Amino acid sequence: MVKRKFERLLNFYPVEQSYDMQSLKTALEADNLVPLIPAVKTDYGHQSLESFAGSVIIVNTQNVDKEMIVSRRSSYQVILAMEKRGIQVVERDLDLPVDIILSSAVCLAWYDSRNLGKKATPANEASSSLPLYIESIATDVLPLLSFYFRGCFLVFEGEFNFLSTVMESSDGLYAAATSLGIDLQIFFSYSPELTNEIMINCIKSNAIQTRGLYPKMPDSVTLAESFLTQFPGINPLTAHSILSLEATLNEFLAWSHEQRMSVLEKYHVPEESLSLLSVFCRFGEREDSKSIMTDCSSSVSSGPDSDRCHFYQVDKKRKRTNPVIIDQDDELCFDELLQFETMNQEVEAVPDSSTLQNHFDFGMSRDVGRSRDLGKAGLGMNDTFFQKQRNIETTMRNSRVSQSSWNCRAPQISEQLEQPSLSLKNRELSQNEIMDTDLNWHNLGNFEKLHEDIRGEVVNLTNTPLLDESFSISDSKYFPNLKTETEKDHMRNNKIVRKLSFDNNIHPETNSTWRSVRHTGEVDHHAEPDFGRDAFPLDFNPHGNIDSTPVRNLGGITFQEGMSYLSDTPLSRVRRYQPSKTPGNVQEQKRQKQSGQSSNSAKKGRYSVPISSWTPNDKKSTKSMADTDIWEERKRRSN
Amino acid sequence: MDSTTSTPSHSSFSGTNGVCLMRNGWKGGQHPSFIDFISAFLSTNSFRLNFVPIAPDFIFNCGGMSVAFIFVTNWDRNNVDPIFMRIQKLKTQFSRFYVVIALPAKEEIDSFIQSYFKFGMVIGKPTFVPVKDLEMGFEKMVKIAHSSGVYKQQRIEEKLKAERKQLVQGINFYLKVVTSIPGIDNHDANALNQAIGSVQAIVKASKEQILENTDLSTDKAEMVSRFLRDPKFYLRPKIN
Repeated sequence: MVKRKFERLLNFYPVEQSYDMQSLKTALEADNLVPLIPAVKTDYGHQSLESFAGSVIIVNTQNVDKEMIVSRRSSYQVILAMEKRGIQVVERDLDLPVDIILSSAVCLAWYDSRNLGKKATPANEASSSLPLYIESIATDVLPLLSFYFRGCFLVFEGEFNFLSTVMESSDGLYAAATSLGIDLQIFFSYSPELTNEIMINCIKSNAIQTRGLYPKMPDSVTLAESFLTQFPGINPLTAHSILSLEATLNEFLAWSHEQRMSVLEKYHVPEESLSLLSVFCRFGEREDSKSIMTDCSSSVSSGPDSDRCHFYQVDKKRKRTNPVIIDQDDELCFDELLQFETMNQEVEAVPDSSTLQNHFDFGMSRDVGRSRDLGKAGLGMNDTFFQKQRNIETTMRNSRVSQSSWNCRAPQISEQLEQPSLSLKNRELSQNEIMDTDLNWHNLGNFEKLHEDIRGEVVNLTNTPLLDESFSISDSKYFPNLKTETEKDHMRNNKIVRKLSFDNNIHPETNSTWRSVRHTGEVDHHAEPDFGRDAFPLDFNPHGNIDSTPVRNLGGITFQEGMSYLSDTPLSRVRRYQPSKTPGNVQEQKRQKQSGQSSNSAKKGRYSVPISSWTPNDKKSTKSMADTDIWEERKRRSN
Repeated sequence: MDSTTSTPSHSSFSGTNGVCLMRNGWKGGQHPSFIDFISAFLSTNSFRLNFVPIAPDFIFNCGGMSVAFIFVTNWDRNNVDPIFMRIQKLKTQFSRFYVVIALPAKEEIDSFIQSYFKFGMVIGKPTFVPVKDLEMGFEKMVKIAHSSGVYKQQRIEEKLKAERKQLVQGINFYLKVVTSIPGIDNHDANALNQAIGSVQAIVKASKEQILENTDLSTDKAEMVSRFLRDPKFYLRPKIN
């Protein structure tokens, strides 16, 4: 009877799994798998050797200081033995913090008491706090993996004291996984043998879903795989899935997002990865510029428009002969971004009537702003006067074209936006906000296109040569706009914390703790935002006047800030504030946080996206030096 | 048999963090001192506690977000089938569903890991939360429920998704990708960005269009065009 029950359960679960699959084809394949279960169970001869054929896993052979599971002989041999079951084991040097890639969507990372510190923080980091290492997995590792995978197994191996501490500290991991939209499963292992068993079963359970899916993967990295894995969100197995399609690279990359989703569905490629691919492939597109020019040409009767078109033509010719102008243009954009932040601060001071008057004047006299910009540009640059003039003209041309596009395509919106208190930048952002709202209600194609135009233009403000070439999620200092928004989110979070108060005695401490962990402790918020309004930043009333501070609601919290908050919810402090503990623990907690912050800023190089090996060393060196000079110049100027 | 009760709607701005619904049957199986611990913990954290006949062991509602839990306080490695039968049933009823399991010793850890795979669990459906004792288990439940509520209120997932999309729209990623085409350097990539535009535009551009609009040499324009169109070329091993 027990045996029959066991067989019934085995037969039941594969059928259950088929309901989780999205694709009808996959479901049909799953149906075909059902009869195999008894066969595999009863026959361990030839048939079982082929049971996982067509599955591929990738083992990370990045061998820095023997941190990866591949460096442990006993474990790697067990993994290699899976090839007898038909699973192809491929080795790759990966810069991602994973030990094994189990499928296009799922990965596995392994930590023990020896390598946890090394894998979670740079080798030179002095901190030795286990909870901080767990926190850095939540704030750095999981956000990075969420670009590339939908699910992650975390295996922690060690003796019971180590495992207990990890269990205690794991709250942030679950919170991070929820917020990042990835599935997380944590396993605790007290021995290498149990770890091997866990890994083998993870490999098998994923192979059940991917068997028969992948053709043989090349043992060495191909040019195409190297190319595709430079794209954000594309891991090597996803690249292999793409290359398994009957389409060339240019065909695949020219497809629409829907086409890619359709053909890659069977390979379980995460939807988020394809969304990022789609967004990235459109970065820097020019088609809309041509469209704008066409619209301008169609209204030749307008004098100013005609001048604008001519100006655009001239600039285009210049760019063709002087590609170097890109960097200088970026510098000006960066200047505007700094100025933009200043305007934000002024906007926040609106309650004062005299300030409002000043703001009004600023909005009315954009030309004065341009003159100021010219003066600023002259201070720190060695360019000739002619070059300066040309750069400024480029910036002005960009602004004019943007304004022109509004006039040409959406005159009613332009009227709505004609408010003295809004500068051109704020106008663009307000436009963005309106588009977000309208998309939800009307879903008009024209609005969507306009939205993309504006979003692309606004985002480019953060695109400067000053950016570190290595990719870092946790480092937010190169995204000043996001950082500003983050500070507001801090205030919002504190307000929520107070609303969700637990004990009156804890409340002030919580507030104080939050202040101490801010990146810029000197930030001064003149007025606390209304909680009701901030709680729903996208709740826009199209019939009312535009919010005078639309910038406040735009942008998102950085991964670092968001995860840092979530990994240390107020509830976790309740335990620390139990009556039996002395106030000294609070001090220790603050010190830990500060230490965490400093170590976070030092971590950014840990998991950087690799620089292309094709970049000549001399050019790389020159670019790096130039960036350094520019960055130092910016800092000097700000003082 | 317990029947599912609809979760009461609740505002998180009325002075409490949320509501905790505990299954009557689960309560009956616990030591009274643990129930006292739970009551005190919830009270301290401003949660209301109700005892109701529901299918999961717990349902928390925080900030409008409902999270269901099964809490296995006594893992019997010789009788795990009923647990996984309940899991199979509940995972289709709750989108946010966790199984908290107290695993105080090696034998329980072994048994849990074997069972997880034997019963064909798929990652995240549901998420299992191993803990070392009952108090830690309940504390984890409350923290998960609370962070889920915060996540919903502040639309954190939407913000993080938007931020991801913003992060990938940068010249650095663009340069990394374009310069991974053999023979193309940073200068060439910038020229292509300026004259042709997006990656999508580059893959659509012909060799003639590249030559016409940029200062790339004939050889390099040929390389770009061929690399993107010739599988025999781009499927060759990369030699460092």
